Amino acid sequence: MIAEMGWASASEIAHAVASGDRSALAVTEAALARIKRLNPKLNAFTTVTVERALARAAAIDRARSQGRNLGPLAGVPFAVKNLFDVEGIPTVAGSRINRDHPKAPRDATLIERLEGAGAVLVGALNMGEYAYDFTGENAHDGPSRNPHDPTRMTGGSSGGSGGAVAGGLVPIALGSDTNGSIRVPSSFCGIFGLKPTYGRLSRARSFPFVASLDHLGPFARNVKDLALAYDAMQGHDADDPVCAARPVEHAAPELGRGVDGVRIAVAGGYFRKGAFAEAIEAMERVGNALDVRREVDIPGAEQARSAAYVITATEGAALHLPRLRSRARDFDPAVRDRLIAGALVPAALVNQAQKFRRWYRERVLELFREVDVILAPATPCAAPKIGQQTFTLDGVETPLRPNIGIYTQPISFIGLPVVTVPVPLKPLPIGVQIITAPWREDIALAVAEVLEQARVALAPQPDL
Amino acid sequence: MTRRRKKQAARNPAPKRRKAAPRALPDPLDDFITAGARALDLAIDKSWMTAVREHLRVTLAHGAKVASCPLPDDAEPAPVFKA
Repeated sequence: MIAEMGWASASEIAHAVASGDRSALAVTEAALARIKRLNPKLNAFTTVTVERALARAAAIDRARSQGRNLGPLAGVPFAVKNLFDVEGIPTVAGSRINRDHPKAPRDATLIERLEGAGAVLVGALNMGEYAYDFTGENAHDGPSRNPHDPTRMTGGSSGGSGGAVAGGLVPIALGSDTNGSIRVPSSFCGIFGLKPTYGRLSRARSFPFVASLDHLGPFARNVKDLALAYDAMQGHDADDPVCAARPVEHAAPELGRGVDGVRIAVAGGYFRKGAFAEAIEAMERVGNALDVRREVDIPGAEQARSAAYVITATEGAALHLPRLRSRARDFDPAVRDRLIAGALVPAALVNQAQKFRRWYRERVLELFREVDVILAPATPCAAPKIGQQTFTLDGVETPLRPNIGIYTQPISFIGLPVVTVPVPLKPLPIGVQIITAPWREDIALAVAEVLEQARVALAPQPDL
Repeated sequence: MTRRRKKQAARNPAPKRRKAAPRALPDPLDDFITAGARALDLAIDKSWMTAVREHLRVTLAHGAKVASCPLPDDAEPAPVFKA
């Protein structure tokens, strides 16, 4: 029997529903009640799909009564960043402009796959406008609020996803990560997040930001749930030309194998610059728990971050150029002014950034011949105050918004898989990135599980 | 100057020139932004200019950092087209 549904894991819920201990309808009604109670405080949800969720839950209960297989996520409530297409509502992507779009005719592939595994969609989540954001703030919907301190940022751009999972509104949420938008909210909100290899999970029917850098992935409060959600979403999808034609490589059954023989190193050089005391402490705790004695320098990491910055600015601007012409005043000013600047960047710099990207990828893959895992901070600091404009990096006062992702950008730039684990420091948690070679999400999840079992990484329950 | 002119000048001294208030030099990026926006058919409100300029300055600095990395002429960009 599950004592407290708000903090129950997805696997506990699925077990309870499959065994008949709880009905899917009861689980869904409890989730909807939590959302109703806590969302005014956290501002995580922009749409709650009440009727759809109740109908879906009732269908699961009928299926159980008929003895049908319910799937590994039976009755598990989940929600998605509002850039995923949800049938019947416009895909707003955090913007005012997209509210004028027609209703989406079909769900995003990843929603279809999670529901195919028995999960129940309960709504769409707040996000930074058009995903050009690391804060979780939104000029139109208001800021997502951190469950550990609602005066603080959730991180972005998947801010509502971070807040909804960390606040116990849902056990699983989906987000997107172009430069760090899964890993930053995971860090600030104290939860687990998986940014898979570029091309692993389908992006079909989600609103893009930077096509050559966009990833989708799950958030959860424990490693098993993260792996279950990831496994349910794997598989080729012809609707996303980037989605790789690889076989499904289930990670959940591999959990529990430990990390014997896994070669783990800490990222030095660039990744040691600018870290606040809490980021350093989190790295030390994780490194000590795994008995890491090796440090590696990721060659060209600083330039990689710069190249990601240039490609993001220019590809993002190219995507939004028609809207910048016709509806510039309807953008969040903080996003609009960056996009306009991006539209003006000379093409020669973009081409050089794309050439550098290939060079850098080859150097980093060489590094992965020597090690299996690289650890790096997820963010330079724990969650800042909502509205904070600057912070001090390496003794220099620096704009906050574009620089929260200094440690995430060089990694997603070449599509490496990363599990971000929460280190439960007081008063606020902070995340550490577990980075592996392409297509080795299984190793990152195994390392995360070892840290979770040692209670070095865990999602702290907020007092709400 | 003739003697008559000198006398006239003494009677009607030229008005003192007022010192012009110091004017900030136009930022060289402003011309680039204005021309680029015109070419792209983008209307930039004057009140947005400071933020756009600063974002562009930062982005160009990142671009320069990447451009300073020597790469061979035959280096392929990351996206490779396949026919």
